[in-house]
Amino acid sequence: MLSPIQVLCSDITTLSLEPEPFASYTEADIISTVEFNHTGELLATGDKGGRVVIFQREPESQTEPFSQGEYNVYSTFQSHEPEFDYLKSLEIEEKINKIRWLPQQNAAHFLLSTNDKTIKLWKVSERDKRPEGYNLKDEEGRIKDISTVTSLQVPVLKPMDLMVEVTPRRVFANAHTYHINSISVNSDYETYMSADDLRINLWHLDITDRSFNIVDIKPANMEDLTEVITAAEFHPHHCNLFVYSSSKGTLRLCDMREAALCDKHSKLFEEPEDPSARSFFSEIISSVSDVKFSHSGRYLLTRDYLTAKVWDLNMESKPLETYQVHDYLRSKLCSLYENDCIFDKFECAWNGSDSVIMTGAYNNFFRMFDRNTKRDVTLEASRESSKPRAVLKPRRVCAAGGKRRKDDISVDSLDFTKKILHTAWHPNENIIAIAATNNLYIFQDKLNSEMH
Amino acid sequence: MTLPKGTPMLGRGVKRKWSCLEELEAEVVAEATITEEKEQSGKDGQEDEAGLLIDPSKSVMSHLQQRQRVLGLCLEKLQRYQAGMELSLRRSVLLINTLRQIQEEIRSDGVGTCTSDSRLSSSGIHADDSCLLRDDFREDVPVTCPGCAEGDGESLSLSPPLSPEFPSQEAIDFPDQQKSLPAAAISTFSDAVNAMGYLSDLALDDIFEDIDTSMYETSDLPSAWAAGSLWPVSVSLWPDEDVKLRSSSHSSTGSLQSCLVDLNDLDHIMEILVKS
Repeated sequence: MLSPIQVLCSDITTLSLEPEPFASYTEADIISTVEFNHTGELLATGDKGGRVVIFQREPESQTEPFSQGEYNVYSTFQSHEPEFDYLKSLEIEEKINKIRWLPQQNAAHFLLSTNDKTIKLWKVSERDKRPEGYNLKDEEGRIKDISTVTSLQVPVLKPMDLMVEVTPRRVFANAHTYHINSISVNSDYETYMSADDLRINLWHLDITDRSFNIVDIKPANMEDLTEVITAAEFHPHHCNLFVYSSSKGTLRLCDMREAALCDKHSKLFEEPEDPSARSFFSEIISSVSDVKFSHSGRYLLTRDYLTAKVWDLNMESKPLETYQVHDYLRSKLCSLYENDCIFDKFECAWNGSDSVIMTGAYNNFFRMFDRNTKRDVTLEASRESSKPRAVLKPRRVCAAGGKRRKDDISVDSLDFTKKILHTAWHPNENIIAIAATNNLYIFQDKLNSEMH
Repeated sequence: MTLPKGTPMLGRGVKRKWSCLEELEAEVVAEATITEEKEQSGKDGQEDEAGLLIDPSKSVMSHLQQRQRVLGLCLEKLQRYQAGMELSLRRSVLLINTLRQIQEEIRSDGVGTCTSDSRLSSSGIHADDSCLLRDDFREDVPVTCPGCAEGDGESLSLSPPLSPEFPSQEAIDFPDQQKSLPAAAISTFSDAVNAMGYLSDLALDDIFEDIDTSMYETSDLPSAWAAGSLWPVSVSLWPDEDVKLRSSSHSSTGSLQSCLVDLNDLDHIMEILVKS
């Protein structure tokens, strides 16, 4: 798959205030989550300002049958507003932490969006017809004078400009004391889970006033707290299985059939620590920031600060594969600790065939690893290097003072404010969405759009 | 490496209220600078992140310096309390664990080192009391040198590089100090603020009338330190969000023991700091 990637940017300026480079943007524009729906036709992004923007892929044009459609803005809506918790004197951020699409069951699309405390179910529907010919009101909606009505007519549906309506259908609130970090829709399409730092709750999509607590790692004495939940996901096929990751680098696979409260894991995935590599930052960099099941359900992909790991569900003792994302940062951990970058949470993604994994890094770089060929590539998502239809050039980071080729970037020149935390891969095709601060980039593999 | 603007770095000219603390800061800055210089000059690809050079004696020193630096950063980060915004629990847990790891390391290093017991015995008792007090109501942390609290300032002109806390921690009465604690940012969690708020409504004097608090009622710096939590962390760092008030029975002898041990560690650290 790792042939040159073409840029398929559309509306690249949609999410930034001004199209010029180096323009300032407000913090509310920072993209905080990206997610394709199950067919890949829709792409949703959430930002720090609580807004959700949905992009839709244009159908392939007739004239160029081999060119893929571009993504254009389909709908924008305000999902969450900032709230104030009066009891704790705390502001609740409106930042969208996660978006998850429900599988489509009728003409409308449904998605779940969540901030730190509240999950909402939104219905996205299209309206392209409207009734005309009412008897009691005129075309503008004004009530007619009855005396002018001489005959009755039956209103008919006439086509109109497409209108996309987004309405909130459910609000799932007041179930989390701590900050929600993940939501995951179950394969039964009836339930979903939400995970915060210490607890995981199971919801029914139709019931908002009740949820079941299925994991609770809060210690009786908060002084003993040493570990938090960082991410959670349901198995793609087995509705009783889910996994959650911790800040200590462990993964726990739980089976809901075993007990109502899944505090005891069915499987514990943990790599023994290398004693020679132990440092003050060992625990921090081992904290898992994202966990994703493969599409097959056979593997788990995890991301910690420096690596991405693929685990086999049948092997708990160590990962199947470990990929170094930016090992050149290992000697810089103290500085990264100082400027708080060491706490950045990078997400990771599988491609549709589970043969390639992708994750973001600093300096607007993102990395892709081919599991079969063991080849990897570093690419940059930036305005300068991403003109439409341009081919992305592989980048290279060289160690400070090392041999330097043209166009290489030295570790010391990396911009740590430009971090790619959120990436998404189309479920079937080689199309990726990269969120770089306030900009969304959509790239496509031009040569080979079908998955291998 | 490009760092975000406004990134607070250790010892970059942050103004302190207490003049004596300015001296302490200067010394810490000097140390931090030396640490950074050593790290940079030593980094020729031979040195790993823990600062292990080929020369073993040097490696121990730079390890200690890095440990100090990390320790200072840890505490600085824990103090930073963003008003109105709840900080990430994950981040705080990781910081605390790092702090504990350093504490363990210092403890294991300090085993067998003789400490000034006299200072211990005189300050120990009062420190224990404050430990009892703080266990319940303090969201902990950093920095206080009980030895210094005794007014033993001349031999201990250094405190651990945790002084940033003090400017905001004015020397005021105990109940008020509870309220100002959140501002002092040991409690990085807003719930702590509310726990404090709840508790300040109580007649705290009634609860602790059997404890001699005459020590804490002056407005000198030492009393501020004495009233401050003991370091290393031996108290709850984050409140039980579901339970606002915890019973005081929780502060058992266990905490007492750890307080005493902590004092030993502090003395050891003093020695290291003074030597370096």
